[in-house]
Amino acid sequence: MFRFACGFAAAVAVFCAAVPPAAARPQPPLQSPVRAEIVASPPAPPGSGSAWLGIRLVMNEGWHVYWTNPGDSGGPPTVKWELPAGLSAGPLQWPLPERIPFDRMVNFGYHGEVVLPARLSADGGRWPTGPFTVSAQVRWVACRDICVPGRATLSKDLPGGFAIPAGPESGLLQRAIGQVPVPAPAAWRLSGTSTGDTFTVALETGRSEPGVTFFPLLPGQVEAAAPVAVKPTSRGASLTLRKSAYLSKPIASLKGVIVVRGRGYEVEVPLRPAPSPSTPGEGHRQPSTTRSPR
Amino acid sequence: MKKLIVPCLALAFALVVPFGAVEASAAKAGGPAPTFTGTDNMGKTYALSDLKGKYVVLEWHNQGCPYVGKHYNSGNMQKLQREWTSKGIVWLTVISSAPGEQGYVTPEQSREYVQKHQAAPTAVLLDSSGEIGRKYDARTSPHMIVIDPQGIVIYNGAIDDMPTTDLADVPDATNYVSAALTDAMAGRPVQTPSTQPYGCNVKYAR
Repeated sequence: MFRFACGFAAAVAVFCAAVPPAAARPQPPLQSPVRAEIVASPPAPPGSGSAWLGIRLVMNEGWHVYWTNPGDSGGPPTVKWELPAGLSAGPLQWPLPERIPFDRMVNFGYHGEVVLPARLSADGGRWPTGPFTVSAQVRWVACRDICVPGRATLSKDLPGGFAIPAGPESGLLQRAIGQVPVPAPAAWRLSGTSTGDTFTVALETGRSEPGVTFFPLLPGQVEAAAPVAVKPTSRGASLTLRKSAYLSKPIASLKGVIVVRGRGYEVEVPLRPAPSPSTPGEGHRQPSTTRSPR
Repeated sequence: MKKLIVPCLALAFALVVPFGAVEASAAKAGGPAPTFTGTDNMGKTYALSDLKGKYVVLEWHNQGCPYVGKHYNSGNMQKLQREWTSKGIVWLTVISSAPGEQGYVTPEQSREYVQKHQAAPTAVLLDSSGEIGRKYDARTSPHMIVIDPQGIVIYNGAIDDMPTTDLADVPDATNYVSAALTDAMAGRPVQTPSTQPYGCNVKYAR
């Protein structure tokens, strides 16, 4: 029998109590509208040295938290793990975000709830033989029309050998992992040009792709609020992105997540200046271009 | 007839204004700073055109925003204000929150905040219409702009390189405003003329 609901309720009580009174003076202290807990998925295949942990954030209605690139404002959740010797956690993974408009700006983030997975590894495949505890210090900023920061120190007890049966928590984690962008297939071709106020990304997957979109992974390169203009081609699509108003130097490549048929692919698109004499081309490094930088 | 003119004008205005204002590279680093006139929390008027010959820092503020709180509760913003105004720059804190929105303050509430936090800007401009904010495309609090004595924007963006609400991050951050002013005053080109601003959305009239 899984005690998920009870465990969650208890966790909620602990975390709500753990939220420190906000430092704001004019407004009364606000409780974070987010509840946090650790979820775990056992080693797969059983006995292997690799399992998953996740930070689950459940938001009150109307509130959101942020993707790794938050867009025009806000900031992503962070975690510091405290793990028994011999265990290590990889970086947080980021399921595909939504575009969240506010006024004339756009954020990238999550409504409702999100699970941010992190791979947990045991040195030499050796999980602790007795019961053990994983802990995490988690911070986030949740916003609606206003923003409220939150933090929690979470912990979760796990049985020796990490021998928990797969259950609802594993389901939540697996669903989140399924929404984390993966590397683009080797057969795809991606190239980019930098022209005036825009970047153009040419994607070739082998078939026409009318429904693609793009999320920039780094802040300050692409305007979050500018719609991504997509033109399907016979073998893929051409995407036009507006450069960030804060991009002051040319960049050699554009890191982002390209969404094709609902699946996210993490890409780094090499950029070359468009063959127009009006485009300053310094700083671009791209072997296929005939223009030599400087 | 007359009755039609007002709604028609209002409609035309409503259609034109949002798109016009989205043309947002208004205060791009390297370009001229948009002119403005604003009234501070003492009722005094400040016009950018009167400040030619001086460096001017614009700081977007919202006292309820936790990102702003990081810089005021740690004393970081006040320290910057004292340091740079003592070197002759004009530091204008700008509040573009609309009435009813977070961060909106009356002149009296603004003066109380300055007093309570021992803030030391040259002035706090109350921009509840959002006019100055929109001209500069101020997106967040704290969004920072630095203008040189010739009226050119030499920095536009974040206050520093730690986009968090955690007070403990302040000592480790590289402050872009100080860096820009230091470069410019030494006659060097500003190393980092723009960055993505961070913080809470500016709470403009909706």
